[in-house]
Amino acid sequence: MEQPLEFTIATRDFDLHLLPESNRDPGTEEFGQAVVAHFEAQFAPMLGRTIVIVDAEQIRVSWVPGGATTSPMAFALSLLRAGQFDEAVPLLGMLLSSHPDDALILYNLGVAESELGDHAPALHHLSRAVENDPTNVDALIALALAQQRDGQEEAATGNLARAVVRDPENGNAHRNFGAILGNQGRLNDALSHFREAARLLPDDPKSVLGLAHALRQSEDEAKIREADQLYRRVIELDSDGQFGELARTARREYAERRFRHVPGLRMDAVMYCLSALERYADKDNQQVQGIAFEAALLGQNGFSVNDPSSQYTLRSLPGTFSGLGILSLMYVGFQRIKIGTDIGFDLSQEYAAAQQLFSGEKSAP
Amino acid sequence: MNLSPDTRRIMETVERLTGKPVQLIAKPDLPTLAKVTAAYESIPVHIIVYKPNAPGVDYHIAYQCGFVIRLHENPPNARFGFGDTQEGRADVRQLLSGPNGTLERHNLPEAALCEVTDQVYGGLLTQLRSVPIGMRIDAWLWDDYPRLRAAQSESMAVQQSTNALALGPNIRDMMPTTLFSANAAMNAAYALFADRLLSTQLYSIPYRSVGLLDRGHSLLDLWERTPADAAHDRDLVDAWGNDLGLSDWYQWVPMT
Repeated sequence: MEQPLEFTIATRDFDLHLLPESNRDPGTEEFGQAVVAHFEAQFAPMLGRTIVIVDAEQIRVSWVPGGATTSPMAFALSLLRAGQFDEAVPLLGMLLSSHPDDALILYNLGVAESELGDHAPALHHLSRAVENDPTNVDALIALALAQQRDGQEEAATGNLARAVVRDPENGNAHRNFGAILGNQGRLNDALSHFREAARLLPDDPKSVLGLAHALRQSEDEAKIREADQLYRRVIELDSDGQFGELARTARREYAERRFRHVPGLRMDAVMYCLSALERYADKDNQQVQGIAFEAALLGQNGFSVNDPSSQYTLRSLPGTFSGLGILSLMYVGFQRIKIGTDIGFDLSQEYAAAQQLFSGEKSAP
Repeated sequence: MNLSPDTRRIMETVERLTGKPVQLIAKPDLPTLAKVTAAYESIPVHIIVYKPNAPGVDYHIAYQCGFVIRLHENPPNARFGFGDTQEGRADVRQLLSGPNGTLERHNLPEAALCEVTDQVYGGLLTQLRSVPIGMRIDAWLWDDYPRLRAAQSESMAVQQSTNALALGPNIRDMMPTTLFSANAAMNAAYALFADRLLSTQLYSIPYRSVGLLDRGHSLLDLWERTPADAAHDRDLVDAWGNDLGLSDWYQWVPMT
């Protein structure tokens, strides 16, 4: 996608030599017109639309690529879809100057500002968007999110409750309402809205992740198993993205909690770490690194450390390994490369115990 | 992760040239598009951290690999890191907060002042170290890897849009003239280079409007006159540093 080009310069910085001699007096209408003409001529060879706004203090320039049929608004929307909020805000701001009551511009500008953390302008624009078009439920949701980011929890909750009533088939409304209820400890209510969100948006990793998190809060084993399946689904949907990573972390944390449910050393992990030390004894760092990295890549979606029947194989090391066994290979390997490396699963005590046993083995007659 | 064959080939070049693997780490909240930490003593792997959902990921990874390749095209005793100097840090601090400094009126507490100094000084050095050599890498990728051109064009366009924002009055007022001019001149040179590479006249427009194109042309001229092989990368950076009046603000540190 071609990119817009937007920039602002101080009026005093504009190179007056670029203008006809008779138009070099900043602050005059002739100066403003000459500046606009200058930039229009500069951008003319490129297919697109140019907007130039000149005042006493600054000159704002926006060039939007595309033919005569491409509107600046359509381009602004494409920027928002691409997550380019920084570029969208100045363009939407300029459009709002020309159309101050346009609910669509107000809504999109408010969303972009909210994403950038500019709470005050976001709240102002989104409130006006809701006033000017009460049928736009997405604007109501966006206003609630902006209020939440600004710490106005009660107002945000009220607006999300209104949103799910006005549009019961809006998955985003249910997801956001579920999230805010969950934050308030209203877990059963949160769960029902997350279920609705996941039903309406089954391929949306955010909605599926929200449901998984809500289920995991429960003590119910069936719900916890359902949560784990949903985390796997999120990883499928968003393998390289932040939601996939959050799902992996959640699975890892849960696995570690279960792993540690009985206090004290896990002797099975000690023995696996000892086995890893023995396997690595006759290998150089590069070989160890290769094994550890292969295990790490294999374990991107998590190992079943609490299931002794799970089986994994590596290209770089013969044998079949349980989830805990391969995790131990990975842990010990990374400690060999750099002591203290955090692999996201703590086996430090078991490793220390294994090292003591290994030293004893080496010094035994 | 599904990388393009060209990017995989470039990563393999890094591994072959250096004898060390490349490890990719996805970080959705990375403030930049990608960054590389070349392997050294205690970390025997090149780590490239990248923003997974940013457009043109293949290009960003290939671009970062380019820095590692160029470094290792030099023999071990000719590989240097780029470091700051006490003089440079003190000069920047003075420009920011000394008498008539741009931040003098803000009366910032010491900790905040140190942080701002670090950011401004560090940012300028990173730009001096990266832009001229980065242009070599962009030229190489454009010529040798045409299938990456779509991603490269898009990424360069995004970078140009970001760079143009640095001409804004709020930044202009905060930055001392020396620092602003150096930053803007390097951006102007890169804009002229991008225009040439992408066959457009678009990116130099902002710099023309504020009378900076001559400075950009001066740096681009130095870039063209310096031999393009990696052995002359330090000469290139030194040439730009000298032209921008920044020679005393950095030093080359041998990488042992």
